[in-house]
Amino acid sequence: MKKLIFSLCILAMSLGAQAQVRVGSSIFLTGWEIGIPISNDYVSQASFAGGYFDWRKFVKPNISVGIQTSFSHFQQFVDTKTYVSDDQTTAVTTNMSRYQNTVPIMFNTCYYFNKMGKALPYVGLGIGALYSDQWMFYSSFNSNNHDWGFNLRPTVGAILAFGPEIGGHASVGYNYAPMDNGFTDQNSIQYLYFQLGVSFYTGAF
Amino acid sequence: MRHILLLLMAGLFLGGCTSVPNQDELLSEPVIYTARDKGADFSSYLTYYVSDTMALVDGLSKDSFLTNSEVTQFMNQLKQHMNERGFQFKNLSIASKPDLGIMVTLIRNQTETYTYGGWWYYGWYPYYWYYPPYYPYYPYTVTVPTNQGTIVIDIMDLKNAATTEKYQVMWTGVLSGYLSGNHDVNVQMAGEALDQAFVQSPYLKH
Repeated sequence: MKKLIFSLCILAMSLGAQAQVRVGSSIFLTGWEIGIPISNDYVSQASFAGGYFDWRKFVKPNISVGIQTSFSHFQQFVDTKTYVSDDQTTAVTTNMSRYQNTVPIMFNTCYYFNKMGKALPYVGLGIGALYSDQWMFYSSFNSNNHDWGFNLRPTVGAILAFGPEIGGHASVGYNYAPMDNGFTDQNSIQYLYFQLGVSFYTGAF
Repeated sequence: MRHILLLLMAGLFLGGCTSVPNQDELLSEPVIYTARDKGADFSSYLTYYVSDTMALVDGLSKDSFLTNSEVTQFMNQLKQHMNERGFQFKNLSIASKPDLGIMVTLIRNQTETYTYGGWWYYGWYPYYWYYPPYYPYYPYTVTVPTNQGTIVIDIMDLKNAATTEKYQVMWTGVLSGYLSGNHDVNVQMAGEALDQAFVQSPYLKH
């Protein structure tokens, strides 16, 4: 899937089409974000509790820069299992609920192609930081770990200009943060995400 | 229209933040924690002593010990595990002087979680009459949940107590969840938790 997204980005860039969006105008996007963890030994179940905010300003008719943030809440119940410490001196057998909240905050740049009907397709890249907050609940205890790390988000999507000022938005992307979660040996936080929401683009077209 | 949509999206975004774990699901199974002294060599100890009674630390009762058929059943199961690991039960006497002393304590109806280590102990100290009243010493830290009922098993070094002037704790098992649910199931849960404590402590053998 990662390769597919990168391939789509490269293909889209190679098309070299020109979008016609007014330079200096802005687009605001917000909506629902679904996250699907990749190679995650801490939480592997998809997140349906998430959202995003994305603001973009057009510096050229086909290029925007902006900022974006989102939120994904992953959670999973893990059946009873024995965990042994590295030095073999302690062990605990328990079930647990694992939570992970991720909040990427990034600068983004997007490249737009010619409108296809009402859709304005684009490819983009977000670079910034990821705040990750993990909780493990077991018995009446809980353990928490949180940290900041570098974050990268390539994406492909489309702004759907249904109305004169307000439309829709859909995108798919890949979130990659080379950081651990504090509880397992995993050294990166990766997930695919799907965004579905609305777009506000007064005066952009 | 624009504002309504914005509010709708903000609500959806923030709604994802609110979630709490299902406590009933989490507490449906006992939690078994074991810790050992890293330097302990259990193979150099052969005999042990454990009482037929269970010490009681209870926020609602003034009783110090529990003596009933369930306790006896639990203690017999504990002895069986120790015997299977190559240790031999001995009564307390000057002649026998067992190498290991095992204390079993039930903690319940407390409002706080206990975290102890070093010289700290949770309410009473072991009494082996032929030694001065040494206190237990924990070479590690143990956290005990007390709201569900927890059985704590401490295995202490009696063999070297006179030299070290302390009861060095060599192994601790914390079995949590003993008091939840139906009475019969509790005994079963405690027994299963005890089995698991030994399963996850393969080094505990003569």
